[in-house]
Amino acid sequence: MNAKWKIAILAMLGLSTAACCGTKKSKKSEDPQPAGVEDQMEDPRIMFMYGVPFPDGEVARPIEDEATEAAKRQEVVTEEGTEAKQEYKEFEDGSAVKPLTDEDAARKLEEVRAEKNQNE
Amino acid sequence: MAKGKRLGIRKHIGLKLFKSLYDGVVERHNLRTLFWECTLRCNLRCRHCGSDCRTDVSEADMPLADFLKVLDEEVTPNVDPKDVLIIFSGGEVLVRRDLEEAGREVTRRGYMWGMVTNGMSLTRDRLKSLVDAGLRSVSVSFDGFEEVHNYIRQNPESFSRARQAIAHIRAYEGLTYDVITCATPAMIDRLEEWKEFLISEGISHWRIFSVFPAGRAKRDESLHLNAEQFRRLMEFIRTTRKEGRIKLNYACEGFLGGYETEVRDHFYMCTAGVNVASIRVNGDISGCTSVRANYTQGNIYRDQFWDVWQNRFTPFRNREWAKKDECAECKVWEFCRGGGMHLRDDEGKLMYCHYNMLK
Repeated sequence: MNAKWKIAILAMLGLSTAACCGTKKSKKSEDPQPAGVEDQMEDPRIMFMYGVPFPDGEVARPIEDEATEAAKRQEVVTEEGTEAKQEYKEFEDGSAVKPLTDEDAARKLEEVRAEKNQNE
Repeated sequence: MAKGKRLGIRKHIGLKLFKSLYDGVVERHNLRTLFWECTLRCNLRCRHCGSDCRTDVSEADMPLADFLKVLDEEVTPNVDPKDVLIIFSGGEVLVRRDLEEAGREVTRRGYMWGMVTNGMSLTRDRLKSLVDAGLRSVSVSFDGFEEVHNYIRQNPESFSRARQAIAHIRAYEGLTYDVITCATPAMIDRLEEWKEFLISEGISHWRIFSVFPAGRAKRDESLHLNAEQFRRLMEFIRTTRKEGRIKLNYACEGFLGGYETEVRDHFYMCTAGVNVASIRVNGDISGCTSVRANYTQGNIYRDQFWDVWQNRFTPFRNREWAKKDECAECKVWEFCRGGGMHLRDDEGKLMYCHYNMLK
């Protein structure tokens, strides 16, 4: 039985996620697909005892020297109409690290809970 | 009803299939995580420390240039940096003043990096400078309520500082994080209460591990869970995951019989030396940093890292040598393969079996 079948059966058993399975896909459709690549299992990412969670979103890219200086300053307007400055760190892949307000954090937590409930 | 050791038919089939798929992972042994043990210095002296680190150590920090040389000459030419996560570990990594420089350098080369910290010196400003240096993921140790955490960490400020550090981290969107709790007997009866506290703090990702007998923890019985407590811990994790209010995982540790896939996101596997390598503070090359020194496969000051990664690591990738003593006749050997490498002592004997704890 090849890997593709094994993965399919694991999926039927509801265990494909636990096996960290997936098929590797060519990034561009015109890229030649190496033989057998579809049958490969993605290398697992597990939660090590003394490790860190794998970062969400797209991977980091090499940063330019100027970008290392960090963080663009962006003007934001508060509810009171006064201007304040917040630090943003943006990556080339579009993901960003930026400060959250407590309200934002609470809202995001609610969104996560709602999504979980929906999934259940 | 408690799950215990028994595997149902569905999981048994699943594990059989996974086993053969995992053989392919071992054969490929693509490097996916690289630990850099950048220091053994620490600003705490925790009772359960597996590496027995202390505030003043004879082993000097590894110079950043030495680590970067390995990256540039050995690792980067052989991997796609975006596929490899670099984890700075210690000791306490924040004692290194050049941590930001290290972060910038690995980020510049296209790697993602993360760090584990006790949070003692993770101020708002320090965190910002680390994020500016490309920090993408961070884990903070948070072992329980104030008296428990401070007892384990042996510092009266450790709880409040860790709590503050987590609040700083939560203020960043896009910064992946979790908090890590070492489950000890003192917290077993309070896990539900602790969970509610973490949720009330807005914490969304949580990891639990239990002490294994190594380093300083080996000598402190007050930290070790008995079989009944361990079983309760598994039940707690299983229930909490079903609730879905906080994302909880038990750490990689060992094979868990009927609890497989119910207390963590994946089947048990020890990827030390398979997808994971570490460069220890003295240059030793090994699997993960928890593995004992006599499983060292080489040293960056003597050997070529990539040659070691490709051509050594046999004890990590073929675990037949571990099929002895209590493992010799074990019916789950094919799934467990002798447990985590960190659970083997200097003679290769299994120090702790999670599966056998689930009586």
